[in-house]
Formats: sequence, C-alpha cells, structure tokens
Amino acid sequence: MDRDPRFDRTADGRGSDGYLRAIVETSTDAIYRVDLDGRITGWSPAAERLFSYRATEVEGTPSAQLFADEHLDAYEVVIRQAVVGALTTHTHTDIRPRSGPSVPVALAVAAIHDEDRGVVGASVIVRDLTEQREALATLAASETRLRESEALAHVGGWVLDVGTGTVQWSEELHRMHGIDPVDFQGSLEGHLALVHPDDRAGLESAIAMAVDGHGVVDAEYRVVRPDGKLRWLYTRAERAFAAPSVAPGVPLPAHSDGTRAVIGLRGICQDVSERHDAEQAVRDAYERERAAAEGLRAADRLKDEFLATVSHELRTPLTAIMGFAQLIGTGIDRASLPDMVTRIQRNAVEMHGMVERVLDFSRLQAGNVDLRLQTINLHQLVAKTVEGYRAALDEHHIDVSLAEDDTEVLADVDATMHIIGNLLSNAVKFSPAREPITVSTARDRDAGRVTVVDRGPGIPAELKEAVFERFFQGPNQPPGRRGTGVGLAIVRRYAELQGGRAWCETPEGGGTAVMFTLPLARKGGR
Amino acid sequence: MTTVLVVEDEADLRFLARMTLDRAGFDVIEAGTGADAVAVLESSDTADVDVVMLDLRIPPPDGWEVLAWIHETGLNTRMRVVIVSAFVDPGTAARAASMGCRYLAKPFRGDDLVALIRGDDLPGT
Repeated sequence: MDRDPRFDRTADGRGSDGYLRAIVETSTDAIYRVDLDGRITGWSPAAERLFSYRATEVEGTPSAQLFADEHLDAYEVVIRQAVVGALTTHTHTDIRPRSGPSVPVALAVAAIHDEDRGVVGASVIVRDLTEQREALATLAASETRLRESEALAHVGGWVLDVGTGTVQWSEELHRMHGIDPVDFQGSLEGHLALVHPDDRAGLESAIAMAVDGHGVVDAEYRVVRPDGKLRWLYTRAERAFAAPSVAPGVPLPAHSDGTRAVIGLRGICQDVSERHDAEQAVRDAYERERAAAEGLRAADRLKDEFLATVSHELRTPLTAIMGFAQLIGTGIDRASLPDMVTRIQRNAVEMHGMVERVLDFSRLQAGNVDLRLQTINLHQLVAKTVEGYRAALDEHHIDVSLAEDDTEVLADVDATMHIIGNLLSNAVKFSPAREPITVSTARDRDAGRVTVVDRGPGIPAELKEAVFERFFQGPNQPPGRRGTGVGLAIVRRYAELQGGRAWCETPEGGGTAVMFTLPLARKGGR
Repeated sequence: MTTVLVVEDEADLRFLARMTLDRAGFDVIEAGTGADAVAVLESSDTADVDVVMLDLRIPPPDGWEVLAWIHETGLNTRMRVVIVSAFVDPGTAARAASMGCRYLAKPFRGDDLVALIRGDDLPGT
C-alpha cells in the first residue's frame, strides 16, 4: 500500500512521528486528514476498508463526497467548527462508501495546528457504528419480543431485593395488577398490599420461608385490582445469590444458604384467572349435576316408598272388604249383617278416597289437571261434601258450623270437593273417636275460607310447612290408618291452582286447624 | 281349646279375625298394640296362648320387636307365631321364615288364616 508521505510528517513538528503513524495505521477506526478547503490530504488503511477507496483515488478530492447529500450540511458544520474554533468536535452521521448502503458512523474532528501557519486542516476519525446499531436493534427487538411473550402468556417477572426491600416488576406484572408503573411503590409492602387480605399472610410467609429456607415460592393467590376486580395469580420464584462465595471464617450475611449470600428472589408470575374460573365452572357444574342426580335418586326413593306405602295401605281396607264379604257369603246370623255391611262400606269409602288421592296426586304431578272454574256457593258445596262423608264416619261427630252466608267463590267443584274430602279424611284419622270435628266457612276480604278443626295430637310448629310436602308422614301417626303422605300436598296444590292457598294452625284447646281459601267470585257472578 | 292372641291395630281387621277364628272354634284374645301384646303374654293368667297372629306395623313395639321379645323370653318354644302383614315383599316372608314363623299376606282368605293358625299347610300347597 502506498503511504501518504504527509502522514509521515508530524503536525507539531517535533519529530515524534513514529508513534502517531503506528496509531493511524493500526487503528480500526478510519482516519483521514483534510486541508482548509476540505480536500483530503491523508487516508488511513482503515479508511480504505471502510470507504472502499484507495488513498490514491481520494487524495486531493473534496471530502464532502464521502457523505450522503442529506448529511453534507452537518459534516461541513463540524469541520468548520473544528477549524475555526480550533476544537475537537463530535457528531453522528452516515457516510456513503463507494458501494453498498450508507453506513452509520461517529465522527471526531480535530483541528491540526502548524507552529508557523496556525490551523492548517483537520483530522477526522470515523468509527463504524453498524455493529453497535445492530446490537441495539437486536436488544430492542428481543425486549419487544419478551414483552409480547409475557403479554401472550400472561407471564411477568419480578425481582425482590432483600437488602433494600425493593420489588421490581416487568411490564406484564403491572398489567396483571391493573396498575400504572408510576403507581407501584416498588416495595415488598406495596407488592403485598395488592394481594387479597385472605391470601396476604400466606404469600408473605411463603416469600419469607423461600428467602430463609425452602428456596422456592410456589403459590396461587388473589390480587385486588384498583377497579375492585379479583384476579388469580400464580407465582414461582427462586432465590438469587450474590456472585462470589463467602470465604471460610467470614460471617455470613443475614440471608444465606450456608455458603452464598441470598440477595433476593427472582420469579415469574402468571395470571391464571381464566383457569380458575374454568375450574370453578367445572366444579359448579359437577355440583349441580351431583345435586340433580341426588334429587333424582331422592325422588326415586320417595316414589318407591310411596308405591310401597300405597300398596300397603290399600291392602288394609281391601282385607276388611274381602274378609267380611266372605263371612257374609258363608252365612252369618242376620243380626250381624248390618254391622258387617257398614264395615264394608266404611272400608270401601276409605279405599276409594285413597285411590282418588293417588290419582289426584298423579294428575297434579304430571300437570295434567283441567280445572273448570265457576261461581259456587261455598257454604252449599261444603255442606254437600260433608254429608257425603258422614255416613262412612259414624264414629265421629262432624260439627258443621256453617254460617248461612251467600259467599260465592270462583272454583272447580271436583277439585274443591277433593280438598274438603282430604281434610275430613285427615281429621277423622287423627281425631280420637267420638271427638267432634268442626267444619266452618268464613268470608275474608278477598277470599272465601274453609276451616277444618280436629282434636287430634296437633302439628308441631316446626312441621307446619313440612306437612304440605309430598310423601310427608308426621311423627304422630295414629294406629291403623297411616295414609299415603300426599293428602295435604294435594290440598295445597289444588287450592293454589284455583288461586287460593292452604295452611295450618293450632287452635285454642289443641288439635289442628287446616284452612284453605278460594278467590271470591265477582259481584253478579261471571 | 286352642287360644289365639290376635295382635292387630286396625279395629275392623281385629274384628274380622275374631269372627273368622271364633267360627273355626278358637278362643281369641285381642291386642291393638305391641305393648298390649307383650302385657297379655307376660300375664300368668293368659300364659296359655297357643298361637300369636301378629301384624307387623303396629304401635310400638312393632311386630318384629314383639317377635324378638318372644324369642328372648323363650315363649317361642311353647307357642307358634303367624305373621299376617300387608308388607308383601319377598324379604318380609323370608325374614318371617328365618324366625320360625308362618307368614300370611293381606288380603287373605279366611280358610288360609284358619289353616295357618291350626298349623296346617295352606290348602293347595
């Protein structure tokens, strides 16, 4: 390579040129020299490499050609500043090599003094910034990727410094907590303050234990966002150690693993709210499913018990009917005949009532009830129904205290008779023999009311609602007739279907009062 | 004369059993509850009960408990027990057999009741 003889001369004229030449020739930065007109008067080997011009090609030509047009002004300014002000100036710009794209560079321009002539030119050192730019771009890209990955995976990072108690969050962690970076205090207290009160102590002790012993935090906890929303976070963190190990004999710091000082924790944090919600939804669904299945099993059990009860209860009057009929058939004295016929009738009525109840219940269960509501004189209907029962219930005196009123209700005749029949049947079942059963009607503000009172053992207060549930059998069942457990359920359902209601009370003097209402018919009937 | 203790809480059925057994020539004693039945069997005056016609669902103690008591006291060695019940599942009949009892389901024919009280097999079996 040709040497520029002018580099061989020292600018300061002191002759120590070997040192400078060595620097210029070995420098990886390109170095060239310009005169006061900006023409190139010296060109280093690194300049040849960077610009792809040989020294002989550029010597004597304007150095401005080395720069892209848009950077020319800036270049000339730094050259002028250096020459006129006798300064060393710096700038970043782009050069234009002979071939290929422009190259980012840093320029350092220094004036060259001559003892006799003052400033005679300038030296320019050109540092190629391509690699540095690429490294910065790569770093920026990888930071962007990291942020994107964190956001995608809902994973963020955090660091605890046990020495200072400071906590640093990654961007994603701020997002998880719904907190602007400027609003996070950056301390362990601030970190824990955002945790749900019920989970705070657990996380705090997990962190403390990790620092001092177990070495790992592995926890799920809730945080409360500023908007009040709860999020479930999962965190896993490990201890971070100071790099050098502690020499034997030197006391260890407060936190250590025996040989190394623990400087803090380094962890990741993940928003697992969706998983939690999904798990909760699965648990809820399972629980609903289980409850539904349990309900079905219970209903099935009740149905089986109901069938067994009905079967058992039907057999009792049937045994009496068949037995007495058989006795009559084999010939008995005439005197006993009326008594046996009465017994057969009584059991037949009871059996009929039971069959009606089962059918009513079945119809109501299936929703297969066709009510024909019409205006009915309540007093007359009750009197008629009671009369039908009186013959079969000879052991009981049914005291019908029916105020002769003209209360008219809007009701279905059959359904209402079934209600009254069920109530009479219950009263007979529970009343001691020969105790009166009282039936009364009354007119409330917007309903007609029927009350049936017996002198039986009564219904405990806590069971006053339960007795209206299907298949309910109270604790005070009398001997003999036990019933099917659906009578009062039918009463209430029929009353409600007609727009009334049914309930029970304890009357003065004991026993049970069961009442139901039916809506009043409008004046003048339908 | 064979004496039968009829344990049955349903008055009509008690009366039916008395009529049926009277006509077949048995002496009949009645009990409406488990407690009444035990009282009758405990009393020395009526210790000569030969057969117990026992309903199962009766005011306490129920039929099974009365039967257990009969076994505990050893009364079963000198009297027979015929269970007459509206429980008609096979388990009830099997349990009765395991306790050494005859079993008759309600509703029953008078002839069948009389045969079992006598200790005969049921007609036609």
